[in-house]
Amino acid sequence: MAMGVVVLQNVWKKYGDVEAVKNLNLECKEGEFLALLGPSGCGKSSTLRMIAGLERITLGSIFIDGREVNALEPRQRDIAMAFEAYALYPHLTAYENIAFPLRVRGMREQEVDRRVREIADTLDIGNILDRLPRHLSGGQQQRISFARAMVRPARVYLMDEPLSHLDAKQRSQLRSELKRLHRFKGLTIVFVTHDQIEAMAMADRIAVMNLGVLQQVGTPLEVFNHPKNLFVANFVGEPPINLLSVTVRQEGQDILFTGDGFMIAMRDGRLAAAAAKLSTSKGVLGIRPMHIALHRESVSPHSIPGNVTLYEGLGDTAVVTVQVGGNAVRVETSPDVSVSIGERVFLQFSAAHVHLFDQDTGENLLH
Amino acid sequence: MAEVVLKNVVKRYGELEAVSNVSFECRNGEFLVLLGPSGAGKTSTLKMIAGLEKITSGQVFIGGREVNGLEPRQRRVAMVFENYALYPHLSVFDNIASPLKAAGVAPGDIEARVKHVAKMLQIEQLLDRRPAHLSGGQQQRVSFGRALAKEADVYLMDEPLSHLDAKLRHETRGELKRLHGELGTSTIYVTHDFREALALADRVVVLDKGSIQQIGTPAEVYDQPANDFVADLIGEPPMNLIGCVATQLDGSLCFASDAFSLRVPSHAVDCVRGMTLPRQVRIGIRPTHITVELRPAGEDSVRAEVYVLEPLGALSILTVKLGADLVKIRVPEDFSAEIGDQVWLRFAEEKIRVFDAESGHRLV
Repeated sequence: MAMGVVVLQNVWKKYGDVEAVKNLNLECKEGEFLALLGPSGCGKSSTLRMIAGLERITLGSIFIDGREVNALEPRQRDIAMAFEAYALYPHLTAYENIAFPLRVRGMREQEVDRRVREIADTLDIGNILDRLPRHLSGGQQQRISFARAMVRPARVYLMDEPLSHLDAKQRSQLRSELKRLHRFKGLTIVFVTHDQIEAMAMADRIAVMNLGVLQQVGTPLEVFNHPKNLFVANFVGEPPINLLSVTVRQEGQDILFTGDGFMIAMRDGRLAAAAAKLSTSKGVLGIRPMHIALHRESVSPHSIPGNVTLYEGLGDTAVVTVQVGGNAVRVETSPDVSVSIGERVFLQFSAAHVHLFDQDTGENLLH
Repeated sequence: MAEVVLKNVVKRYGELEAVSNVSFECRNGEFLVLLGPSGAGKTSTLKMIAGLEKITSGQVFIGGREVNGLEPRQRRVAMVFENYALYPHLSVFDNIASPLKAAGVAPGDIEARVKHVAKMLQIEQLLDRRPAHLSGGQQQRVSFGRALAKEADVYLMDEPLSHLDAKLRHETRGELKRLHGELGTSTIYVTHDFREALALADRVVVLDKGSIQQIGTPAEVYDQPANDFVADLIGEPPMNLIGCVATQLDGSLCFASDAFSLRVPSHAVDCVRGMTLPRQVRIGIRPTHITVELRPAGEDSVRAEVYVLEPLGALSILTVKLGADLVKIRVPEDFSAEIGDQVWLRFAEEKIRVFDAESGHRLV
């Protein structure tokens, strides 16, 4: 079996009594853009730093290109790193900053020039190469820092929240540039972020972590559409997924979900199989705000009545909050839908978009 | 409750003019949002209203009374900041009660007010806890509670949600809007986040480099941005601005560049006819008002090249290269294309806006 470029086998990181990374098994394939996603303290940066060789591995093994690197110095690992801080040399021009890692390696002048111009072109910084860092905006500095990290050939490029310093606009620009750079050059990248949108937009696969434990690895759409557990469902998606406590009962071919202020029946083989896996009759029903349709009249016996408590227009979309018993359910709609506070509405969604989680384990039973 | 009026307000820090001749009004009971990037002057403006910064020139009125010379505590305002600034050694109850104690409110009244506010914010069960034992969202609620417990005519809030993670920010934003609906107290709220502005505000004041760019309802600033700055500030992705010339070709008016030619939509014809042609303009169109086809889609479709496709879950953002501009489009999550592919764009005609290329002002 072909081995990934980076392979982590049963990797642990402990700081004294704190277990920052717990028994992590993960691989980044040739040419893959892998995002490590999670909240602060989830172990994503510790993981990256162990791959880089900046942190000792407490237990387990890390392989780069099939070779165990546990004992190797960072510079022996054939990796390149881009960090959140730009750390450019202030007395060198943008060009010289980018060329620096190539010159250190004694690369021929002609080759240095070719490589610097090529990467500058991709990152759209060809016109600022003769400037000093202090004459560059934050976004431009970040591009130079990227270019410097990526100009030299390396087996793996490691990035720790490289976009988090930037404002929203620069971040979304650089996000596109980075994705293109990756696609064009077929680079292998491990990218750490707490921003689910960043991970979704760029990565081939996302590894979601929480409290040192890997929760799920999958493509952006797998993670979004088939979250493995409550944590992933909750962490990915904006506005966040609706989670409703329910009692689940099978009645003939129907699965009956009863919660605070509502009861719906659904007929769906997948749901029936999932319901059968519940350890008790209690579960958590998950439905994303964009998968709920909002009606003014009861369109079917399967719609859920509720009262509008909040309307938030966001320009391109709107979020309507509907009170159903003790649950505040968010619905994402077109901004053209007009509803008033207090109005009675009916919510409808298809079985295909429903998730069912075990209340105790948090596991998605449809997964 | 009271209205707040700013008349020709200027704030200078030495040479630097942070706020330049700003005039606006927050009506009685209104939720007014000051929106702008960092350095826009929005926090300086808020602090002048609060009395935390001196006003260099101009006047601030609260409830019809000029407050320029008044101390913060004489202005009957309550503030909520980005950092919660709770007393770590005091319980939630005492944190909320502290401004009331300082104001000499009778102990019986203090208890009643704290309990009332706690109920409103759904933190009744937390009153005995210390801040260290609360989540970020709970701490922010307590900090709201402290402002709400005070009897104030105006609430002033400076980025109160920016510390919270995405989920909590969403929830607290909803909570805040609901509270304002219940209390109806005039509120001036500072943010750099257009979503908060659109979701919360009755009206939005858009600021840049110390100057007002536009004052309008959320629908107005979204649909009819006064200039290219406002167009670019609102929306994720924001409005696309595409450079071209308004001109006449074969007897018909069009917007043209090396990359495309587009018939001037009917709502813009009168305006374009009044111009000296050709004229450099930028047409503005939101990412949600463009559809994409994989083959030529009629006369008015515009050919472009796929630059990058970014899935975001329920939808994807497609970026295409159109001449010298990158154009972003919201597409369904099942849309698929490779970098370099040709696609054809159709703009929703009635949604096209036109901006002057030089001044940035909206013309149509």
